[in-house]
Amino acid sequence: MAPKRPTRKTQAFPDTSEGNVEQTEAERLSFLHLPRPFKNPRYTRPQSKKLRSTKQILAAERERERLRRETGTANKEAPTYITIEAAPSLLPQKRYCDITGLEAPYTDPQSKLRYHNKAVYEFIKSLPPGTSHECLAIRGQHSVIR
Amino acid sequence: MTDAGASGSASPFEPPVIPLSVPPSTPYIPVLTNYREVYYPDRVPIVIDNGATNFRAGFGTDKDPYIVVDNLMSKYRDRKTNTPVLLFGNELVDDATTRSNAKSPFDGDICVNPEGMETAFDWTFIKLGIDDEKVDHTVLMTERIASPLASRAFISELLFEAYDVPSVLYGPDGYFSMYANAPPSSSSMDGVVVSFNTQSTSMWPVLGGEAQMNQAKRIPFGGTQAIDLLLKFVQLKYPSFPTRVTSAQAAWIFQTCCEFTPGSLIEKVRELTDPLKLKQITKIVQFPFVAVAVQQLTEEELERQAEKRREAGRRLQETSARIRLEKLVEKENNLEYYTNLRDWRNREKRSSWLARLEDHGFETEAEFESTIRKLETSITAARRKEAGLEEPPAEEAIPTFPLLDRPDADLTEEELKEKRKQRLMKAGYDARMRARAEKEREGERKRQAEKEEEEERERDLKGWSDKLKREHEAVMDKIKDRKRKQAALSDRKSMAAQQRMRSIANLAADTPTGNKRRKRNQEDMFGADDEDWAIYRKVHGAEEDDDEEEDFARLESIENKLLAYDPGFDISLTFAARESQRSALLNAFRPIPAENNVAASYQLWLNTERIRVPETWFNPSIAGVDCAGVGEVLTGILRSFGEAERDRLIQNIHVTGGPSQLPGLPERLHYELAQSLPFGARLAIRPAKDARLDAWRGMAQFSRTEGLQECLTTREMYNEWGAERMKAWRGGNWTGAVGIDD
Repeated sequence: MAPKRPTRKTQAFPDTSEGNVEQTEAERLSFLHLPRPFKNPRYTRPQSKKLRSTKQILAAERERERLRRETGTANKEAPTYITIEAAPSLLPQKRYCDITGLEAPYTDPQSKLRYHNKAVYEFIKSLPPGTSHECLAIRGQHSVIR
Repeated sequence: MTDAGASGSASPFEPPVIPLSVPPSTPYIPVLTNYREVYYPDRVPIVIDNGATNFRAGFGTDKDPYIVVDNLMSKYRDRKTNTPVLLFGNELVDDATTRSNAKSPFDGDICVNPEGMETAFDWTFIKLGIDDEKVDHTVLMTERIASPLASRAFISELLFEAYDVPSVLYGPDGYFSMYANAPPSSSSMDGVVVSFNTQSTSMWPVLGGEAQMNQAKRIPFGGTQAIDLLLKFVQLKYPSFPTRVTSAQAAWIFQTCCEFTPGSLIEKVRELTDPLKLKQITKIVQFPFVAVAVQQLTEEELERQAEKRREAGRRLQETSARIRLEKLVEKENNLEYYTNLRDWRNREKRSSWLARLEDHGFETEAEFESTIRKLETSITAARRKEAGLEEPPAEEAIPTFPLLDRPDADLTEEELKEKRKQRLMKAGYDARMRARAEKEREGERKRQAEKEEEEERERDLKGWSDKLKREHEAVMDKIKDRKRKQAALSDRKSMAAQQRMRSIANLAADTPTGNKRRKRNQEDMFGADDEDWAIYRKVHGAEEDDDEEEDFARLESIENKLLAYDPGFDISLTFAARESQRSALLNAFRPIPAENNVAASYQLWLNTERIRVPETWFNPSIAGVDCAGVGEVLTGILRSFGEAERDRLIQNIHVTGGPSQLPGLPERLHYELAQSLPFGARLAIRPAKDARLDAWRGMAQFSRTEGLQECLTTREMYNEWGAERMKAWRGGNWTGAVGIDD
């Protein structure tokens, strides 16, 4: 058994008095201790559980939108964060090769990858398994297994 | 780059190499010291551009913001010293703890983190040198277009409750950017703002200085998404890149290398099918690397090494020669001993002689004799070898089988046994002789064929090589065909695989059907025809495994012949070379660096990615975003206006935000919009003079105007309406604006 090292003592009581401990770069730049005379000392940030995450904020927006529509009192034209999102495209979508980005007239029936020509097809065939899935994931065309 | 020039002579064009150089973060910002003298007396408004990437703040009378930093905070307790640490902006030191605790006030597109905002405000007001007991300045701040009310609520609450500001003004950054770029008579500001933000891209029209928020549209694709997309493309293109490409590096690559296609992408991409054109748009990003120093040995050292090797070889030879000699001496001793032993045969009685032999381990005299013979031959052979002579082929003496010719009746019991033995030996001998003769004949045939071929070659080289080439093609076709068949078998739905399943099912069935011949007679005649057995090869799947080897051997011999005699056939035409050949297009897209070229292995070749990533703004489906692109959305916005208003709008399509600085955007927007506008429409795309700072500058400019006062949301209004509401003003959001969105 290795002999015990008597170093615990020094670690248990870190010397926090100034000057003795070398300050790290982060501690030197930290502004936590700086005075904030301009700040209301009685103010504390509300610790409400509500409205913490993006999801909750968006849910609140959706609820507001629904209420407005139901009561019908508000100006119907005023947009909300949800309603200003652009609609899906109505234009025909161009197909680009998943490997080279060139025009892709073909689709590999096995991997579902779009490809430019025979050479790219052969390249797709040589891909390690899983890579084609990642290529599809870029387009959001992959199937997610939960 | 000297060697780039050298290799330039080999190929006509080499893409430019750009060394990767991510700029260091901005230096430390000191606390303003002249707050009391300059800014306090007039209570100069504080202007804050709260962007998702960058946080810019300063006093409204200044030309440029005093603070331009990353909008990031980091709060943690130092493990070693147990002291709490709070950092913001560019003061986030580059260590693991700080980075892992880094938080942005934004989540995606929306400002969600009150703690982050409070940290940002604290830090800003400290840096601006504010030493009063409250922040007695009007605050102008950017907010997201159609900002969720909850975001505004906590910011208002912070500003009014914690810092006790007298009044605030919120507005979208794009409006202020347009304002900064508008001519001085800004009351009649017309145009469409196209704002490229970190996490989204927004567009809204402005008529007579009034933002038309009911027409506003947002595309959920921004700079961050573009950089992520670029990073993914790079990772897929270089799956085994020696270093990890960080997102900061990807951002730098995005800013330095990417560009918008001025016209239609599909047309551009059709051009790039030419490998040379593809190479011309390529930019190579060189990552830093440590060159491995190759030890250059001097002539002398090489000589010494070779000498060492030769010495070792010599020693080995000497040892083996010594061992050989020792063995020879031993054998000679043995032979001498046995020869002396043989002398006893004549000196004593036969029975005691045989006993003596048995003592030495020999059962019969014949065995003893054969041992001596063997010794003798091996000694002669060894002596010959020692003398450096080639061993003559051991001429097998023709054995005689005298007993075979005599009838059995004449023979004793012992002789009969011997005769059986001789018969066997004769059969073996005859077979050996036949095989040898066959071999000789075969060799003769081969020599004959070779001679004939040589004659044919000399007579008609072209005909000969054509014949061989045809054969070469045929064998290659056969190999390819086999490969295809094997690939087909691995696909469950292929014809071959289904055929195989049918065969298996048929074999397993009690009443096999299918084969007409078997149907005719009820009796199972499987195996009557040799072809029947082929079914097992079919079922086995990997048929003709041995044939494959044969084909490869055949291929090799043909290729060797052609390589040796046909000057028109070179190494690039061999099967192996053809198989490993990559198309010129793929090579231009992503060349495989030479094994020993370290610099090249640390290079990223970017070509289609350079235009493909920015294209996503115009075609978000590239990144899987189900949404119309910038061009289509803008066209839709313009369509909802009458002709007169539309003509006013199209004269000032204002583009701003970080990604708008990439080249080619104005041209592209022009191309997209002109399609739906009448010929000769006065369409003008106006990029911001400084896409990074114009929003802040516009806000500062606005804070200096007379009209500011009537736009502000004051403390009284805050108290009356609550944190979510603000006063409606001409450039601001409509969401939560009193008078519009009640």
